[in-house]
Amino acid sequence: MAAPSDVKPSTIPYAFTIAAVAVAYFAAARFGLSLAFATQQVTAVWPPTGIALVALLLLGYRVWPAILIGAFVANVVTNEPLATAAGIAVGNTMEGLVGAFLLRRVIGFDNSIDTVKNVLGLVCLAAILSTLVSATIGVATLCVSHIIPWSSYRSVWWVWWVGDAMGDLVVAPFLLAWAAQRAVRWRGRRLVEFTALFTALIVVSEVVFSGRFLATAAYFQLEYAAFPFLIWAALRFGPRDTVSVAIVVSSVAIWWTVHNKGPFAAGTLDERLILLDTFIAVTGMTALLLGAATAEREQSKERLHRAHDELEVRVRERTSELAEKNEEVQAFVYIVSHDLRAPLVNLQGFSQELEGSCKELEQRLKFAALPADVEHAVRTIITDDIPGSLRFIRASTTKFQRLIDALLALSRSGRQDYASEAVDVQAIVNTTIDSLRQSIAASGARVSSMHLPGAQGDATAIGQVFANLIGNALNYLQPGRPGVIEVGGEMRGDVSHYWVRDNGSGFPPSAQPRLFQVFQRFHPTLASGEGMGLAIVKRAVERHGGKVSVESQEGLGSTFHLTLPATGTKHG
Amino acid sequence: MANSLTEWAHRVVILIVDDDEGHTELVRRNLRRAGINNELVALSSGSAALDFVFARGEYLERKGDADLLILLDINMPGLDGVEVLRQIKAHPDTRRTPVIMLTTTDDPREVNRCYDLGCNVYITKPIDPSAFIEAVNRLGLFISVVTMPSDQPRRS
Repeated sequence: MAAPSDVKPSTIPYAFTIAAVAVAYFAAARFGLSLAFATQQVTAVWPPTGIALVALLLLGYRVWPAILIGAFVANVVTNEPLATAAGIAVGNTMEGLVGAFLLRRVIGFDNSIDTVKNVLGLVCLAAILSTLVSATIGVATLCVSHIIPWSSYRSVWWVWWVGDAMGDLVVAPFLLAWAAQRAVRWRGRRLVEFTALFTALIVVSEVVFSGRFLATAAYFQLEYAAFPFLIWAALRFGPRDTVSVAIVVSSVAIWWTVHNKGPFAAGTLDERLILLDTFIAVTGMTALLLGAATAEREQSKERLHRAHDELEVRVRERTSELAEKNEEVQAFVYIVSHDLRAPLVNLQGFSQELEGSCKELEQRLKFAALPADVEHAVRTIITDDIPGSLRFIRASTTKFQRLIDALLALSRSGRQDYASEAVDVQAIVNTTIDSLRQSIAASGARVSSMHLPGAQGDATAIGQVFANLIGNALNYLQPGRPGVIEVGGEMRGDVSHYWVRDNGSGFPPSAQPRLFQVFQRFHPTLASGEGMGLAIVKRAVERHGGKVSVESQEGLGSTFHLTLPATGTKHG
Repeated sequence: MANSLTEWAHRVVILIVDDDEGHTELVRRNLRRAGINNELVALSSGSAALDFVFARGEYLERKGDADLLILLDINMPGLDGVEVLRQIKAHPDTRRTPVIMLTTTDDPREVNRCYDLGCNVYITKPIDPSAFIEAVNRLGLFISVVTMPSDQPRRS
């Protein structure tokens, strides 16, 4: 039959949820009682406490009726009077609500056991604190109902509290981990390892806690055999598997202790409980802390990895952005200087045309019948004024042309493909000095070079570098002092270091930072040029992966230093 | 023979392609001063030049039998001179048309690219009038020498 249409869609799922949780709670209670020490219905671990806490955490406070119903029915079934069962059920329900509330409110618990904060909260707020409620109310109910005498209050309270605490410590983390964690399926080798872990764990637990295979009293000391498995699970798998190991170990330990076997089946009931619960508590807390701490370490390692990867990606991006920008700038310089040439051609061409026209006019004037004063005035215009103006235009266009040529040369020096070959720098410098022989003779300077190591790079570009530096030194000699220019060099590891030293006019310190920039001229009166020479030197050296620098004292001279990769080394 | 050759050389149409009017004007004046009085067509874009050369589009009506001497600027917006050169040299009918590249750059890569594509002469602006005129004359004559034989049957 179809449900009435006015029933809210959430009503039925809610009822189902309540029923399912109640049944689970009831089943866990029955199961817990089946593990009770036969004589006194005392359990080392009370699993329903864990189920109640997890149900309230995962499904919300609204499932509290399920806990109440489950606990009530479980107690009624064990022949408690209805009122007693109701009292105990209220205590159990409040215990879960208080635990969930404290976890949410105090530490903002997010249902995971992957952080140390969360597992400490689970231990302190739920296992230790919230269980006080159930023990206090439950045992009081028993006393009020005269089921136990008030004199037993303290001892029963103690057993009750410890059992509930173990439920929060062992069962709750196990349920939380398996419910909350996204399904992690181990595959291949991991699956083999996972299987090996739990197979070995079960075998070892059986051996240790059943006592069947060890006849001597030595097995009393063997509980610690469980710990390698906790560590194995924590380091190799995760919190979920670690708490699973803990629950397996605890279950086997309880099972055999209840059946009077194993290391904890000795002494009075109280002694057994203390031994067993201490073992379970230590196992559970170790599992929780070890699992969470390892998980936190893994998480931070992963974050570090991610940050590192992101950083690398960003560096790569920046580098290629910079390279792109650099190319853009060079293309820009090329295009601009190129486009500047078109109007320049017109200026040059038409000023030439005007010059021709003036000459033609002058010729025609000879045959023109003009009044003498008019003829004189016109002649002055076409032989003096216009040609004078044209001379200035021409001088400017020539200058303009040279600047553009220099810019183009610079942009080309950045675009040319460089060879990477062994370069005999000494031979290149000798050739350069040879080709400058005339200007050297004219300046009266003495130019020497010696012991220059070889370099790896482009012979033409390196020749240009030395030609510019020596040419510069010749241009900026100190007037009235015989010039001495010295080219030297030495190897320093896999770098060849060179210098060009002069005793010329030098540069003021303020000029030095700008020395290698384009269009910088510091002694315009001493020599002509476009201020491109050092810019080209810098670009060529840097494209070889080297560096340029200058030391200079005004009036005393300058030394330009540069490095190039030594012969046989690679460079960018 | 010499007369008809000269006469024929005069019929060569000179096509100037340059987006800068000033440059065109300078070329025009240089040619005129050198006494070259051939018909002169000035166009300002690469696509117009191709339409003219292949007698299509706007120039559909042009009689395609006149021989051309092309002066081509490299840097033009849109279709540039190098592409125009490539298309002219790629077509069997226009492959032998002499082309003088005019440019403001002396970038060796660009110069070589033009020679690779089959340009006949490469002149850097601003042009040196005497070298320019000599090149034009030589190429004009060159046309008549190489094209006369193939044209002769039609003419006789």
